[in-house]
Amino acid sequence: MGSGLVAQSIGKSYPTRGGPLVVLRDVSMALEPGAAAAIVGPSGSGKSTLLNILGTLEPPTEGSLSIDGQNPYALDEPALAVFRNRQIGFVFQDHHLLPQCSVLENVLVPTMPNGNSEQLTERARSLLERVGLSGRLDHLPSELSGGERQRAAIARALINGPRLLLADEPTGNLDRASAEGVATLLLELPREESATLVVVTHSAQIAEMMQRRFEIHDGRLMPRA
Amino acid sequence: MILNPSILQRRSLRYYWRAALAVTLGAAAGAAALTGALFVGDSMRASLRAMAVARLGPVDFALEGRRFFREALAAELAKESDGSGRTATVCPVITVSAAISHAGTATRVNRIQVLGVDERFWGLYGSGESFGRSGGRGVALNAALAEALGAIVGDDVLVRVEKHGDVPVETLLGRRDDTIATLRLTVEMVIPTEGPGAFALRPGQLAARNAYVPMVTLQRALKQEGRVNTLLVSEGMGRGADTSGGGNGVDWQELLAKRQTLEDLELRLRVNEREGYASLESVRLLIESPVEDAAKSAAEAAGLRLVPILTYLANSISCSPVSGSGGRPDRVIPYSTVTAFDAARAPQGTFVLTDGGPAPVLGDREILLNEWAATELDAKPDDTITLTYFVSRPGGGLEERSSAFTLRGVVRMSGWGADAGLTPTFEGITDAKRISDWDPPFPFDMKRIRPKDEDYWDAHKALPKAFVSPEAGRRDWNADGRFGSYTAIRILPQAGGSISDAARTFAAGLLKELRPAEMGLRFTPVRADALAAGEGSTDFGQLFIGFSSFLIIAAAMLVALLFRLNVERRAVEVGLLSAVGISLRQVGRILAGEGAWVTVVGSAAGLLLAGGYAWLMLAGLRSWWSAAVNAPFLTLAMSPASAAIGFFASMAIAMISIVWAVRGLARSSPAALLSGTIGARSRWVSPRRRFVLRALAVGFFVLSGSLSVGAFLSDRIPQAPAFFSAGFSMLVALLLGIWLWLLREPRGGRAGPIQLTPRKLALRNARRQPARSLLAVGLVACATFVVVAVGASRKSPDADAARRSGGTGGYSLMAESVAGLPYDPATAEGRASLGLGDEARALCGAATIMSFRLKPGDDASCLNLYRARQPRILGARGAFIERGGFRFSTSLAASAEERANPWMLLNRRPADGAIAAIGDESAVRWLLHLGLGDDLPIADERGGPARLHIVGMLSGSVLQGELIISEENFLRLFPSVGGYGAFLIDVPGEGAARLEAALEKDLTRYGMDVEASRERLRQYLAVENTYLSTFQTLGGLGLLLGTIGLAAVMLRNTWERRGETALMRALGLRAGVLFRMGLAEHVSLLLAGLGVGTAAALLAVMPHAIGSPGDVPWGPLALTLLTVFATGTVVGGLAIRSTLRTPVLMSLRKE
Repeated sequence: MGSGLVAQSIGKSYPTRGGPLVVLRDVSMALEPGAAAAIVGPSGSGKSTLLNILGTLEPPTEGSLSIDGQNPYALDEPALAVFRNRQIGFVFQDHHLLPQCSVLENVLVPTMPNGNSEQLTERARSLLERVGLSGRLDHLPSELSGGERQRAAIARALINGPRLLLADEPTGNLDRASAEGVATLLLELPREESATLVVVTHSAQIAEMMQRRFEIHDGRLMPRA
Repeated sequence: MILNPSILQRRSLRYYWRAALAVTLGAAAGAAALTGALFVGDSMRASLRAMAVARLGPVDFALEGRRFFREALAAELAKESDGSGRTATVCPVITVSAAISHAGTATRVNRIQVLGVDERFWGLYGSGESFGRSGGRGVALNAALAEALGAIVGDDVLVRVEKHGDVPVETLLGRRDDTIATLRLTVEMVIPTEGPGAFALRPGQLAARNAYVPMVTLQRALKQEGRVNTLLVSEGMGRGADTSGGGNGVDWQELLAKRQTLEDLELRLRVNEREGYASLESVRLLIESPVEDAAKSAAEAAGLRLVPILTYLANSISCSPVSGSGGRPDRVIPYSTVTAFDAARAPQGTFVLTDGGPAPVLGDREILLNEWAATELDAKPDDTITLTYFVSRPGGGLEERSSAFTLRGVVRMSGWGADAGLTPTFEGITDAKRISDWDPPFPFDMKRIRPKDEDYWDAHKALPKAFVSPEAGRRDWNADGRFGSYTAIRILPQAGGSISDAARTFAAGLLKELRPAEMGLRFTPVRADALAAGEGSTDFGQLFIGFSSFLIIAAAMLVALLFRLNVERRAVEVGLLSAVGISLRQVGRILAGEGAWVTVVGSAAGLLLAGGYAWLMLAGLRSWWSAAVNAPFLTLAMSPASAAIGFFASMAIAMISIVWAVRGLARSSPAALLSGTIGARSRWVSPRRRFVLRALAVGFFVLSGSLSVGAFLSDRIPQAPAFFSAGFSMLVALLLGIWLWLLREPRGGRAGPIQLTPRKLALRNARRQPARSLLAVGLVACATFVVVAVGASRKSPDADAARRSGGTGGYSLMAESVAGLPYDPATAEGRASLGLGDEARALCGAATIMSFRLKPGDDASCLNLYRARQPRILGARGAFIERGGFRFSTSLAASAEERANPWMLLNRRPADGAIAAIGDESAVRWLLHLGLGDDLPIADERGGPARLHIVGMLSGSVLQGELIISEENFLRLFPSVGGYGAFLIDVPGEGAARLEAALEKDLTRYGMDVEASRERLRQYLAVENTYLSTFQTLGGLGLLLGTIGLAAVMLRNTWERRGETALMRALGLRAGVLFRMGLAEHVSLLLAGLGVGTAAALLAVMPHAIGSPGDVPWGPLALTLLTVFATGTVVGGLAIRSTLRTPVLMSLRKE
């Protein structure tokens, strides 16, 4: 397998009383390092499930996944956690910032397993400056606006220099101006870090900003012009 | 470092402080219950020890003799102990149990302690009390006794004490009718029941009832002038670990062995210079076996010869001549002494026939007469000489028997043949001037005395008129040798030696050989013993941990539930941490670390609350539950060890609960967590698993039914365990049924209109979190099951109790006397001899009376909190064993006969020399901590080791306070215990109350106390019932914690649904409807728990509830359940209301 993101024949179903509920069917995609892709599709089409599988949060029922040449699902849970910690960053529709921690601390959450050194702390400050939150380091999430929270979440996703950044409806809860700012950051920052970006979105405008676009419908992934 | 797990934990604890506080309070509740229970144990032990030590005052060691010894021994021992460098105080006193009555009001108090004291006793306490105003007829009562008696200073009282006669009552010369001394005394002082007023050598939780009599007065009444039976030693250090190496390093037993004299052992050595012998004799008439053994050893060591002698009294000596040889069959010699000894051992020439030849060695059917007797009877060799004599009969009477001998010769009345010293001294006989002055304790017909008999007495006193072999003497007069074998042991010097020197050597050797303990003189470390007994018969710490177990479990489950709810609330956070690469195990550890902080704080807070909890429990034991312990003296004590154990154990329990609460994390996927779900993503249950659950539910239901029906129909299945198992199976079956119902998915696709009512929606909501709902229902159901099942198990003496196979064994009365009755009231002759009145004799005649020998000791029943080290022992007679009765819970019965009547096991003789014993299971198992087949080591009368082998246990009987052995074995262990001290009486019809009154009245002088057996059983059951109440109360508290857990679940449920609730309000549903809907869901779960638990518990106690509905406290049980229901409903309602208060818009936005 090559570098970047390679998904092959991914399928996902859930057992129910009425039989297996198929969510994804034969999904394949390949993205080179530094590439940015958008996945669009109607609600319930399987976008978030695919993103979870790509982010190693949920194993596929069938198919395989390779990130920078490594199959994460071959790893056991602790190794998978380490892999996720080093290789993958997440930005969710709901920022999921820890309400009990300050903005700076939230950005440093992914560094906890290895200890947040002075260097990493400096990087966190730098990322927060980059996303425009240098004046808000000691604020709690509840003291930020929606856009600010999402920008803090982007900084958190990039703190460990991931190879893959996954964003699930990152602007879904934001007003237009904030959404634009967040989308710009999402596009720029991974590029600076040479990370592959996959964004699930309903927003055609954001999708248009990506190099590649996919549409998912009824569990099937198709390239979109 | 800006962020690490520890910092995150602190941030989280601060942010989620409400949740942390709730968990902390749960942990604190558990810690308080656990540590508090340990503090209850500390308090009980400390209080018992304090009480025991207070009763002893300054006394460290005590010599409690079963015989009287010289009062001067006290001073000698004190002086002897001076060598150790410190001066100990040794105080002589007389201690006897007694009955006392008020001369004016006739109020009677039995089983009091009478102390014969002088200024040395008061001086021991540094108090200045003294008698004097009443001229030696004064008595001081302690306040406890004065109150019970209703006596004040100036009142006259009658004190009846048992005389410790010299000669055992159950021998020919024992004075059966003179066993009680009655003293009429005037109350001079009433002293507080503290200091000397609290004195008692044995620990007990009730205040001692003491009467203090001037020592001289008591000595005179007991005919023990200059003698006492107790020495109290105060080393002035308040300690006393053992008899050797105690506080002062003085070995009191060793000192006693050094200072004892023959007089202390009730022995005398009479030297007859003229005949050249010394005669060792006992005040008790018969020489006890340890003395006999020691005498043999001492004589052997000194090279002295011994001649054992047994002299007895014949009622008559008569002669039946051989055909044609003459003789005077009409002549009978009355009341003569006869000596059994080995004539060959007498010194040469001292015991010869009239022809000058040596007296022959006699066969066991041969006899020698002295010259006077032979002449009187005109007896010739080979004539048949018949002796008639009395022997003691079991039950106190005397039986006249006769034995025939062949006359082998006539002894010359010189030397030993003229030695009246062969007959031991006996007051009232040997000291009489004439036979007609005799005051014998046996039936004596003065009319039979002829002038020539008086002449013989004038000339020769009690000189034996006949001689038989030692074998014949033993066979006819002293078959059991219970009190000893000989009336004297003569010591002969070595040829040419001086008898005075020999006697001195022998006396020294004898005292060296005799161990005082063998003679019943033994110092005991009473303080050390009291402290050991203060450990208690039951570890109240463990007992209250048991009682509080459900409270502790409920608190632990509450901790788990609250922590779990907190974790569930933070599922997204957990998911986020997992998504950023922190493994779920690490997240679990971070959360558990948070939990650790909470448990440390909770357990520490619990320690503070534990003191309050223990104080409350002690207050309960002093008031509401006083029947269980009868110990109003309890005070709070808290040991650092208990605090440490409680703290760490509580922390461990809380941590286990927390680890259990976060255990589901590892099974969750990060994606599910991010969506707010912990555990399985779907509530879908496979058909296979559903089938298994159904099969299990049906299986438990069928098992429950089978056990109930089986126990009803078959006598072979024990009902109580069967029904309890049936109830428990029912509990499991019903909970499985609820689980299946909770897992059921709503049916769809039905035709027709769908009516969705708030009630239906409430029930459907209850199924939304099936595991959470089941946990809450299960918690309430289990708590209810325990509380109801335990509460409904209360007992009172049922109808069965009166039956022969019941708790009373069919004996309606039980009695005990302060002094052993010298005659058996079971026989008409015994009743007549005891002087019972007409009514008592008539009622006794119709009743069955079982008399028991009684060895006083520690009460082994649940009424005694102190550890029973030497329990009371009853010696059961053959008639009791043959009659059988009582209910056995278990026994070693092997044969059909033993199975039919396990009392027969008392006749077993285990090969290892142990003695078969039977006791009540509650006493044996819980107070003596023994099981079937176990041995209890005890000391026999001579301090020798003995073992009681438990061969059977009674169930729920009135015989809880003692162990029962056979009379035969009893007399082997305690040969000097005379008379009968305990009685079971089966009175037909309605005469029990009349007989009770008549016996107490007619046997007042013996301190007879009669009680209805049913009442005794009720006292024992009151203890059991009080323990059940305690468990029920604390279980009820656990149940309340369970309802708080249920409320917490409800709070979480409504909080999670606040969005949809807001939506419904936005759609126009009123808040009241939504409140009722939430409350209906909560109440349905609460009722399900209460209903399931109650139904299963009622099945478990069905036989008892049906058989004795009056015993079941339906009212309090219903009240407990109603309280729980009301509390649960109110708390749940408050939880629901708090979430409904959230503004609609805010809730909708959050959604």
